[in-house]
Amino acid sequence: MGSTSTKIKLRTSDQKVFEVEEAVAVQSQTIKYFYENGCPGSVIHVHSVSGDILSKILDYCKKHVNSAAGKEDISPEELYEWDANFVKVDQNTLFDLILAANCLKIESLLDLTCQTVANMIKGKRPKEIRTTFNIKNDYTPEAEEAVRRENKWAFDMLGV
Amino acid sequence: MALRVIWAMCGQRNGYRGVGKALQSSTGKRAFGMEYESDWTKNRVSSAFTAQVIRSATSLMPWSCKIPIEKKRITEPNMCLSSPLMPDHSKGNHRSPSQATDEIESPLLPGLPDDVAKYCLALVPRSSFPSMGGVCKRWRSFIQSKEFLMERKIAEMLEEWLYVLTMDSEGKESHWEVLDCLGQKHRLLPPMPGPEKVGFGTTVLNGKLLVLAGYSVINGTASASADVYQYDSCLNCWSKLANLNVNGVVYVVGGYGVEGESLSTAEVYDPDTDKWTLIESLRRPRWGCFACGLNGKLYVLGGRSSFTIGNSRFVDVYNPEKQTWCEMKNGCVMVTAHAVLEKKLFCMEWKNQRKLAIFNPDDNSWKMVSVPLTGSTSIGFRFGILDGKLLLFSVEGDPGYHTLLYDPNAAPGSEWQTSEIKPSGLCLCSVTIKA
Repeated sequence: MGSTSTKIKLRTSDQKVFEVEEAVAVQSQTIKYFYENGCPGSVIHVHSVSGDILSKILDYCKKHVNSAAGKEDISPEELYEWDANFVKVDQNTLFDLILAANCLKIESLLDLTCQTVANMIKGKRPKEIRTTFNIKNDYTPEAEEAVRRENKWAFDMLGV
Repeated sequence: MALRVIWAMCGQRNGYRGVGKALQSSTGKRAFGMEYESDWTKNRVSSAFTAQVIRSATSLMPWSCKIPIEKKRITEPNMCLSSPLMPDHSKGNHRSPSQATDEIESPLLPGLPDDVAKYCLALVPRSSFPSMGGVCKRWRSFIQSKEFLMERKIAEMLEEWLYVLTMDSEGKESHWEVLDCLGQKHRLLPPMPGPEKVGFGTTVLNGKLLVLAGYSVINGTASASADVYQYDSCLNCWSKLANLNVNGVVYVVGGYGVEGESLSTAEVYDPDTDKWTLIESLRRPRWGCFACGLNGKLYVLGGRSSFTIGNSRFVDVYNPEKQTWCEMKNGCVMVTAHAVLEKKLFCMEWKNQRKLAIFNPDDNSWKMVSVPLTGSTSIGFRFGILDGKLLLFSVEGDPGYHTLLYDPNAAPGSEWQTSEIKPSGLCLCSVTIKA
């Protein structure tokens, strides 16, 4: 099972089948677990992830595996850049990537995508955050004013 | 040949969020036995069925709690087959973590399970927390919680900020200011509520600064106060907590009563219940003293007591497990500055401002370390701690003084350095808060 040419078959929620190099697929701790504990040659059903998202995720895993194995000549800065471009997606796709990374246990991808969400919060006013993430404002106008007044100093700190 | 439904091990805090990670390993053969399996093998997921699973799962497992899933859950496929944490593209809009909790409170980030959302929030830099507290009530209460600090710690995102109570050179106005982890940016905190006070105690608990007791001077009359104020360093706001009984876990020991009598009482504060409880009293009334926690014990030093003439050299030590006090006789007297760093207590005595007295609780020994000459006339110091190093701030606000820095882990001979970190005025006291 150690050979890099071994392929693992994955089937997505929309019944797309991917044949993936073992080294790439086992970036997912969940797939690794099933692969090592399942029947050889069986199809692993990733029923929580769509084909579109899995395809993106496999791109990510491939890039990182190749870069780590030295198959691809890419500097850490270039990989960082590649990651930054990878998460330049609409919010629905970003959330799907997070959910899939969480489910498949791909830690570096989960960190990357969650940090992207954190960056969308950083330095924003409460109202902007609510709009971005579709969060309901449950403060009464009076309470909101009180919070705003209380945080006047804090907002000054942020320079927002 | 039965379809194998395997439930991934999850729930442990190994960097992954959430508890529902289900995958199927299929041999592609038809499955028998359990009713839901046929749905999968026929490549047809009934949304009604999925919804049912979500309900049954949430009724059994509160998703907002972190429950380590044990292996035995593999034998409970009705809870494991489908996870509410997963996007379901066959239906499109089934992302919300749970219907049950939705009815009570909305998700932190709509579209993400709370566990993942909490991780996202924990990755935001500390300076954005007050703004995040203004988003909605749930965000606010999460940012105030111990859990949030724990998430920050796990994500290795804790930022250390230094809070200094400074006074202008005329000694008229004091204010708290905060310096970030580089000690660079000075920012003012909102003013502390209540009447202006002196002689209060400060401590840090769960990312919050507590300012306890002290006395206030109103129209020239000093009166002892049992007020306790809390500064939430995440939300940048003050609030008033329960008053002292006379005085958790914060311990408050000794001091003056409202009538000016000296006290031997000791109290403990429980932040979860916001309540003070009296514990076994000190052996003698004591005031002007200070206390610190070392190795899980409470040490009370300095000040005076009614049984000794002059200053007390006794160290009262409280063991919370045994709930008993014992004493040592080798304490410092007239301590003008103190701080705990790396499980050692650093003191400076009034009579000797050129020496650090370092107490090691492991063998109850004191070590003296000379303070180098600074080239300025400044001799009074207050201690601050940042990045595992002791900072010596001037109490005189001497502009020519460069903050001295003592690094207990530096190579012998280079423990002392100077630091650029400097409060805007003279330093009355300082605390360090990680959040």
